[in-house]
Amino acid sequence: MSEAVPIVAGKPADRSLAIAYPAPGTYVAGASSSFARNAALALLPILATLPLAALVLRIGPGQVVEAFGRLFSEGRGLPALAFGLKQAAGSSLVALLVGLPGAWIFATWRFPGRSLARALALLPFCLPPVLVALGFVQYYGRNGIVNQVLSGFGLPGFGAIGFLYSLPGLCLVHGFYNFPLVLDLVGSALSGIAPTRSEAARSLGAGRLRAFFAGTLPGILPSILEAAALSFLFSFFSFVVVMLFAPLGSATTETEIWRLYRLEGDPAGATALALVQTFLALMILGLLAFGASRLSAPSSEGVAGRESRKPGPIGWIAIAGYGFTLAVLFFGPLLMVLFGSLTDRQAFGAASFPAIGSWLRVLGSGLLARALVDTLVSALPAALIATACGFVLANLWKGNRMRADSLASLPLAISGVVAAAGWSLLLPTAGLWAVILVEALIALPFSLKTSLHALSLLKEEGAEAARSLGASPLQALLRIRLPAILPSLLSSLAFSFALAAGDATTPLVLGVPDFEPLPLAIYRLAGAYRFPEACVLGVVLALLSGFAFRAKGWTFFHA
Amino acid sequence: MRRRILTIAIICPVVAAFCAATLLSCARPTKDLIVWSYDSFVSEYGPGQKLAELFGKETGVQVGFVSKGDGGQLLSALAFEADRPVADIAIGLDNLLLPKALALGLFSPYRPKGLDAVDQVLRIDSSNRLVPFDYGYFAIIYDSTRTKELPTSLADFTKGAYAKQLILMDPRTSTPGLGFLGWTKAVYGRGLSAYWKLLVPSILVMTPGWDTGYGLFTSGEAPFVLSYTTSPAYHREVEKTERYKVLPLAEGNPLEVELAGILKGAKNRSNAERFMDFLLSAEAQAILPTTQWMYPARSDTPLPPGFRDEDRPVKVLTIDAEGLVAEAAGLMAEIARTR
Repeated sequence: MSEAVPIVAGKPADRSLAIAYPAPGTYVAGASSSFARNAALALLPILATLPLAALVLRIGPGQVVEAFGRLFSEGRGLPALAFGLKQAAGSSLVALLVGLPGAWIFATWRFPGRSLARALALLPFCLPPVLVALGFVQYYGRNGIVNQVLSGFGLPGFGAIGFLYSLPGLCLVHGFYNFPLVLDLVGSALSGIAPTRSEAARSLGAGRLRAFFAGTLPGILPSILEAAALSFLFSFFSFVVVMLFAPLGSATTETEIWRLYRLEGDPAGATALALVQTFLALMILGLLAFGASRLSAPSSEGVAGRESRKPGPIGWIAIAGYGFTLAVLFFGPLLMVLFGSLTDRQAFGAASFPAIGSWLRVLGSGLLARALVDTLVSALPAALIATACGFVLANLWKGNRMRADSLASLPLAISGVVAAAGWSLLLPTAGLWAVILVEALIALPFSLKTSLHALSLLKEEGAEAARSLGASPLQALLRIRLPAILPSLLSSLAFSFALAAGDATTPLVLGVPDFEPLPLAIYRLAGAYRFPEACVLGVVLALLSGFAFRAKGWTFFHA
Repeated sequence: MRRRILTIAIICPVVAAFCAATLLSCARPTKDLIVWSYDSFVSEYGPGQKLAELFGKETGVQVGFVSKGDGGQLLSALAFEADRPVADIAIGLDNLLLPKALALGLFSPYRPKGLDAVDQVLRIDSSNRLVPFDYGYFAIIYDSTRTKELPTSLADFTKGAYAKQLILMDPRTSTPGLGFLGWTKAVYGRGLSAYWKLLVPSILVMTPGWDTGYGLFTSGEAPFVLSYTTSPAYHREVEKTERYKVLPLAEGNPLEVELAGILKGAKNRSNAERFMDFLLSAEAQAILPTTQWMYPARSDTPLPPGFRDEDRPVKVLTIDAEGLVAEAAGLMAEIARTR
């Protein structure tokens, strides 16, 4: 599904001439000793666990252990863990069900609007959950559009059967959040595997189905597992969506951590539960990574991947069907944010629609301009730092892709509530740079994964040839490898930017004076009765992130 | 060539952002007084900026407001910094958090000059470590265009006619949510759990925070929502509509008092005392109604016409905050089990 990317750019053939290559593998990125490499290897886990460690040290390890015993003997830890795992598993399943057909369609056919659909699908990741949640409610809720249309046809609506506020409703919302991960990871794996294996199977007399199982499936299974793992993590650590849509009274570990920290004034309990949660998440990640490594198909590197083609009649039916389903089920709720911004509650007498009053107020007060500047000033440096660090680390770690991949996932396995608390403890008088660095750290796993993937596709001949011609390692890095993976670096820059631009938690807990980026402004507007204005800023944020994704049709993990 | 232009187009804004970020973090003037508060207090629509300006004009003291999330996060942050306080004043703890805050021994007593103009009922800490600056009452708000059948008591809400009609906030994560639990506890005492068992079918959803719940309500998801008696004042003052009204309930409504205090070991103690006097001055109090959408603590403060006496409760209840949080956890676990 990714656009065709020149694997080695800059016409290396012209430079390499016909001089013998050094033995493969002698090339080492940069001037790194093994000590430097190991130190760099330790850096990410240390940074990621720093807030958690700060909390444990501040509270005292003894207290945390005691709190652990207390939570689990009172029977509060286990039900939360069980429900958290159940809903996360269900959510990953929905994400796979929605995402896999799309991955197939996107990898098989070329059609107009493909990259726009992909950019739109990533938007929920960049919008504050309160807006996405309200969008879902206005669409699927009791008084929502779907319900009104269904009852117009005399059918029982979703809302009438209490669909949204139940476990299936929760899994649906999470599934919609996460299916773009499946679409992107599996789609890119599908377009990356050579059709030769399944073709060989078919020429040996295998039916279509058997050819699929023998040829195609092993090639994409690792990416399916990786997508499932990421959706699982996201849902397991999700907070606002769980709180809103889960059945009354249910709790996950993340909501329990929040309650312990926020209301019970029991940071020891919160930290103990966060440790258990992280341990469990890492176990599951490890299992999936192990599974993915066992299932890996023989590498098809160097073989041209599948070419996406113009759709025939069946293709068009599939595309239209999938597109319609997505538009109705998924883009509808997002459209509600746009509609919300066009509602004016401050028009005299009654709410009016469509109206631009909310836009005018946000523009006129200078709120939009200030929020936009604060967003750019923090998210751009954060994105650049994340991308640069991701590239350097990926170069140092690429020797062991599996280990590097799991290390990159580590920060995703730490409770957002606890990380925020830890950072605010470590940086009590934080300035703008603290926000930038923490946001860069949040984006780092994604930029690292992108660079790792790009490097794994990179052929070393160009760099080796340059080296053999007397180029220093640094020159080889800058002149050959960097240009070769530039598209994926830009893609990582775009996604890191969107993540940092959409992050409300870091600026909220670090509390930098006179600093109000878009997501924080949205949070504050929603907390001050001003939902239409919050939607206006939501639309601007979506446009900003959408622009980053759209530019050159960059994709999520892979260029 | 195209690539070079692209590279320049990307590098320029990033470099500019770097420089701007560094400049912005260096250019911040030093403050003579640090006030920690919750987020909406310091936001565009909150009173923070206006108070800082007015106080600076009067005294020349530069106040820095720092948001620490919501009230509960504020208390957690204060507890962590107890032995080396960064802040001088904390604004925004409430009567629900008071027992915890006092037990932690974070505050030092000070009696601001304007305190005599504050009703005795609001002065809930007799030692004056935390003093009231505004207050409100938790209330059920209804949408008059969507319902004609109005309950007249909390007990009425358990009737079948109100199935899935009520939006509440989760008592485990939200202040109004915990306030509602305290409300039912003040009314039902030991019968609390029995009442909730009957109430559950009427609850559409319990949202994590007030913002989401009220957002659902104004999108028409349900006709009743938990909020404050002052919510209709916002709709009248800003949106010029009478659509949303306070539901009068026979049992009465509970009081929420918001508190401020000087921290032990505050570095700018004398400035802090001046600010506390200022916070209870007539002019500072006049800022609060249309920024906090709460009643100012001083009873002699004039209120805008959107605030009406008819919204005030027939009877004022007091919430017993001790042990309430643990009860919230127990009750929610019970609800989860019985469903």
